[in-house]
Amino acid sequence: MFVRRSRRFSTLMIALFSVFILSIVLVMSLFGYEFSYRRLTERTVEDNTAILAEAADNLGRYIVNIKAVSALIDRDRDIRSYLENPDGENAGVQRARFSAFLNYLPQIEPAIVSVFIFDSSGHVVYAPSTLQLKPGYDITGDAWYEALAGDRTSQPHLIGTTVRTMTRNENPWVISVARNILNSRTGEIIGRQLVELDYGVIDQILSDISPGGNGYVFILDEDERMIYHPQLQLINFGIKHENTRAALEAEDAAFLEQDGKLYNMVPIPDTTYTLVGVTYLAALESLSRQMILLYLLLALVMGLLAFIGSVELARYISRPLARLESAANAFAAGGLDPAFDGRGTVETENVAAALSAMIERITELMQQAVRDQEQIRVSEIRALQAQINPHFLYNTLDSIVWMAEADGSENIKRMAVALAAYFRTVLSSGSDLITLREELEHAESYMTIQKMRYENLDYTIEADEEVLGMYLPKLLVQPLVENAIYHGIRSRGSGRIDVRAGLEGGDLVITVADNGRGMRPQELRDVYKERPPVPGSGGIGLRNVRERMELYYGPGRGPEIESVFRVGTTVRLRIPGNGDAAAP
Amino acid sequence: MSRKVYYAIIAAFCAAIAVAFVLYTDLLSSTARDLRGIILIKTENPEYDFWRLVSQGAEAGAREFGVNLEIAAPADEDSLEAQLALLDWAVEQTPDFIVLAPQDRVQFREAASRVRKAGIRLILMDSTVEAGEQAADCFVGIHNAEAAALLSSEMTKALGGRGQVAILAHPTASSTAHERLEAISAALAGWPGIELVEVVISGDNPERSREETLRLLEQYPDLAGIIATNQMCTQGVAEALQRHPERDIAFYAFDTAPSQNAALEAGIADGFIVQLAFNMGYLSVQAGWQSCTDQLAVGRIDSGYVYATRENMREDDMEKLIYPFV
Repeated sequence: MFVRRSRRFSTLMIALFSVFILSIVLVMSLFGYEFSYRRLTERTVEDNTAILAEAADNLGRYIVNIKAVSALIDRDRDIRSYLENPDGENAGVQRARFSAFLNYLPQIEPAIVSVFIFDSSGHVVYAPSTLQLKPGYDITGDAWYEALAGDRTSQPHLIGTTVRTMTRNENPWVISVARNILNSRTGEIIGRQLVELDYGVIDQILSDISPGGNGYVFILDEDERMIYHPQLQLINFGIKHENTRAALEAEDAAFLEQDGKLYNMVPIPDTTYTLVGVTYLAALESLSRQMILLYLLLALVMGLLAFIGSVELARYISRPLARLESAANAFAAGGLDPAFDGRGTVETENVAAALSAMIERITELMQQAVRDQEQIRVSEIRALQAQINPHFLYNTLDSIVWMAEADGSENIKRMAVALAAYFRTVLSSGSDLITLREELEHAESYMTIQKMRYENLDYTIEADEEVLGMYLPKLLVQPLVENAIYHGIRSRGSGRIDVRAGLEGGDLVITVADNGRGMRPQELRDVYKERPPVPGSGGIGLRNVRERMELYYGPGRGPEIESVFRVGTTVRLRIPGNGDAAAP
Repeated sequence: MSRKVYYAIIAAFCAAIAVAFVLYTDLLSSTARDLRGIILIKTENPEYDFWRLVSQGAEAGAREFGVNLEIAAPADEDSLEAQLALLDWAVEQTPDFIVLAPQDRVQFREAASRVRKAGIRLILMDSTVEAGEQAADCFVGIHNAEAAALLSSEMTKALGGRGQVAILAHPTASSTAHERLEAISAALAGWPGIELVEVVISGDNPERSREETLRLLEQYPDLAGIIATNQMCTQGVAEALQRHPERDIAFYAFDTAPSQNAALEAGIADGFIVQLAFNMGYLSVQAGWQSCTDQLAVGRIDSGYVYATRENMREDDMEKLIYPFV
């Protein structure tokens, strides 16, 4: 395939065009895909961040509210006075008042499930009336109590998700705010308060948040502990893992895990907690796979169109060229049709017109050359005829006849008469066809003259009466007689020539037979071969007879020659009786 | 270019376009369509925390894996006919997969093969059927024999290796009861000082368990230990033992509810095998999803359990397991 060879123009066009368009399509698809995928990811991160920021704000507000409620309890004078002096005279009234206040709190803030007040020794001072504490329950083991252990101030402490186990039967999951209650004068710890936020409320808010359609959110505290996770059991038991360390240490608002999870981090205001959103990029990837396929599909369709288009274009361009090519080939092979199909574009049409003009010009030149040649030949013949003025010749011969008669020179008279007859036929203008009678007379004139030279020449001329009126091209018989004399008889000094004409199957058959030298088979084969004209002969020869016979009657109708060495030669001419040339 | 080559190239293009188109529509339909799953648990009794947690886990899994999940259950854990009828109904719905917690290991064997013959993936959960490895695409649950052996050895240790013990079990038609009972019996048989006085099949009925326990306490004054095999049995035994604080009975059990944690706290019960029910539900839906998407690599998934005692029950992680968020 990589062998260097000349290619067709159309193949090159198709290849170049296809590669060109295909690469454009591919490059555009890749860029388009890359751009839309990046855009999609960016949008997802942006959307997630916005959703998470709102959720984080809401959560922050909840916690701020709880802390505000906790501060409200902390400032309550009844609780403080009661804890400072639980055996005082107003203690009962104070207790009734703050109980009413605390019972009322969950109605203000529905997220608050319960409020507890304990005195400094850990005995419950207030608990919601619906709840029953387990007898003998040791609260010092609870997480909130441990969180307050080292603290001597009244700072609020936010405690992550725990189970409230101190109550009987009802053991909800809670997020709590706890603080010490201090004696306003001495500053010593006189009690502890615990405000609990329902984990279920958090779950309700957060489980509905689903970044990217099937993602989820979770909350981490600063020590990587899960405060909230929709599948906390799975996390606790190690079935699921979250990359909590990376989530807390990440510098950006988002990062991508190896398993295709996109983490988005938003800090929850007023806490040390971080809200983390998880998006499964698998959804995005499926979308991007769709895009890849869609782009591939488009690229293929465009590639197909490009291919068909380039083939059509190449054809459109190369078809006129192919026509030109075939016209040029035909011209090279000898065809000279200037009106070949040269339609196409302007360029090819111009080339075609030039080629056509060239062919026309060459044809014209060739015809010109033929005409010139003919002209030359005609002029030569005219010149020859001009040299022999028949009237002058006949007049002179007539004069010779009269003078011979006056002198009583019978031989001269006979010869002059014969010569005049001979030339009458040779020089007669007009039709090339003459009757057999005229032809035989001409041959006899010739033989009469020759008999004067060769006394030992005998001849007979016989013809059936019915054939004498038939027409034949003139000067067919005399050359045969001449040949018989020069080649057959002259060398032997004597001989006989018999000319006979008759009908044979409707054809006129003329035989010229001599009893001269004859021919060897080799000579007979070469009888038509071109050879230098015999000096002294009229020179038309056998070849000329054959050519004219074939011209008139078709190929193969030339003289038939039989010859036996030292016996003689017979030449037969067969003129078709109803032949084309039978009647003038 | 010959016509042959020309048409060959066009045909190649068309073929590539057709392939890409099929892949594309395939992808579209696969992302557009959620899998459909039906989970058929043993009971819809709202008292039964175990199955409520299973349902919650299954729903969490369905949400995560994009499964259109339906949860079905008969009214209680020993209504075999009802559950069989529900399974027939589930097969008629032609979901992509069914998660089944069969009540009966024999009766469901044939039904399980029907599910798979219908071209539906079958995940067995909690309990299995006979020849369960072949009957389903996957089993999700705990290793019952191992957990039962642990419970037995804890009890024999507490009893110092001697004394009369009894077992309260749910119907042994269920593979869980069957496996647990076998393992407990086998473990106890290794202790010559331990005498297994009675195995009571109390059904899935706390009242009956309570009454049977009271009967046992009366019948065997020297009874030293009781093992209960599921939440309903445990509940009855705990109630009975609460009425007899004077009897020092070593009580070990499978499955718990927050109401029984008090028994552990109060020292009435000594150790619970706590199954991670939420995980079990989640993992079965995950297995169903994996099976339908040809990602399921194993035939058995351990959903896990923890052993809770009075000593470890106040630990943060254990607290959240034995007081699950429901």
